[in-house]
Amino acid sequence: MDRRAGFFLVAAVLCFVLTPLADPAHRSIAIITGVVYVVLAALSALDRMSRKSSEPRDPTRDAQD
Amino acid sequence: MDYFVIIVIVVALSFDFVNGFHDAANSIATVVATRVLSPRLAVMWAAAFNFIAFLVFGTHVASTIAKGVVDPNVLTTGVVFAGLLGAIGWSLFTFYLGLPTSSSHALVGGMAGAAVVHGGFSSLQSSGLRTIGVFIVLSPLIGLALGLILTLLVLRAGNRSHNVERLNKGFRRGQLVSAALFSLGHGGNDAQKTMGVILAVLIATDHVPKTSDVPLWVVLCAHTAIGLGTLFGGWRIVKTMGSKITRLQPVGGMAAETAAAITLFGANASGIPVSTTHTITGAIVGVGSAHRLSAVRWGIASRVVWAWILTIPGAFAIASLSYLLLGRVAT
Repeated sequence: MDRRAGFFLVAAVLCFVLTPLADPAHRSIAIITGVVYVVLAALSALDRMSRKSSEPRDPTRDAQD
Repeated sequence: MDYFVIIVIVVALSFDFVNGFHDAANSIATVVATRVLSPRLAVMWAAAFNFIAFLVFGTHVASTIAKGVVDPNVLTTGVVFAGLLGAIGWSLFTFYLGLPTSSSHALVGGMAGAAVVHGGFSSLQSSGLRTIGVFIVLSPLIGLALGLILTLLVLRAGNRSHNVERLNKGFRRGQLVSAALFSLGHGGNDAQKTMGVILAVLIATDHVPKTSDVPLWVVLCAHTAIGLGTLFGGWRIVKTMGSKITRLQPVGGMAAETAAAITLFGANASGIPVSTTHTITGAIVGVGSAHRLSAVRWGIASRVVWAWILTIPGAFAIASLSYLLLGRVAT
């Protein structure tokens, strides 16, 4: 799995876990931040998929992300 | 105004100075690392914008510190004094180690530690502490996301220009603006914490009513102190922030500072005390991760995280001990 996407997903989970703990006035900030990280994770995964499909296979590069 | 109150106010302003001194690298590390400004000019630039931040922001953060961390009815000059000693002690300790920890959370930890010894855990304001605790995690995450997004947007726009040198020149100028905005946000958030502490002391000693806003002389003194601290800021931390976490080009520096500034402006408007250290570090990590996750030197970043985790407990402990030894004298 793309490690960057995984990192972003963990960040999103963290935001959603914090949502009920936050003051009601600030819960939307936590939710929006979590959604942004979900989107970033998806974009990162898509980016990796498109790179892998369009470039020649390089065993050393696969380990970078 | 009795002498002990004056002493506490002087100590609070000293904390503000130490805060500026300790956090100076946050404001200047990226512009120095990317060689946009010399260290001397960079600190003057940052100090000036730290000072004028009072013209831009209100005092919501100060109110949160004065009334949202510890029950105002429990606050005494002794509690505030011990809390400040805890915060200053921890800040100086981590400064000596070269770790960019949060002076803000040291203050919160210090106030909480002294208050608990004085009045028990019931003296803590759970709502305010919960908000501060949530944003300990959220503020660097917001900074990270914004840093990443801004970097991607800027790189995408820059891809249309094939003249890299010209692009970097433009972004170097842009970094002056972003550094100024970050210093405004830093001054606006951090100086208000000291204002909040001083307001708490003034309320506790009946020098101002409980519903009072921050007096103008307190605002001016706090911003002067933090500006002077930034001006005399140390260089020990600058290497960690600017280049050891990830390498920065002018584009990345500008994106990181702009991202951090946006986060701080939002926190100031909402009255949330956040750590400028956390925020700029998150933004720098975000910039690095725009290229690839391995661009971030996670070993350095993890040292920083450990320092953060220990800040509130560390300052709490020093403040508790300080109150036990000294605080009861002034209660």
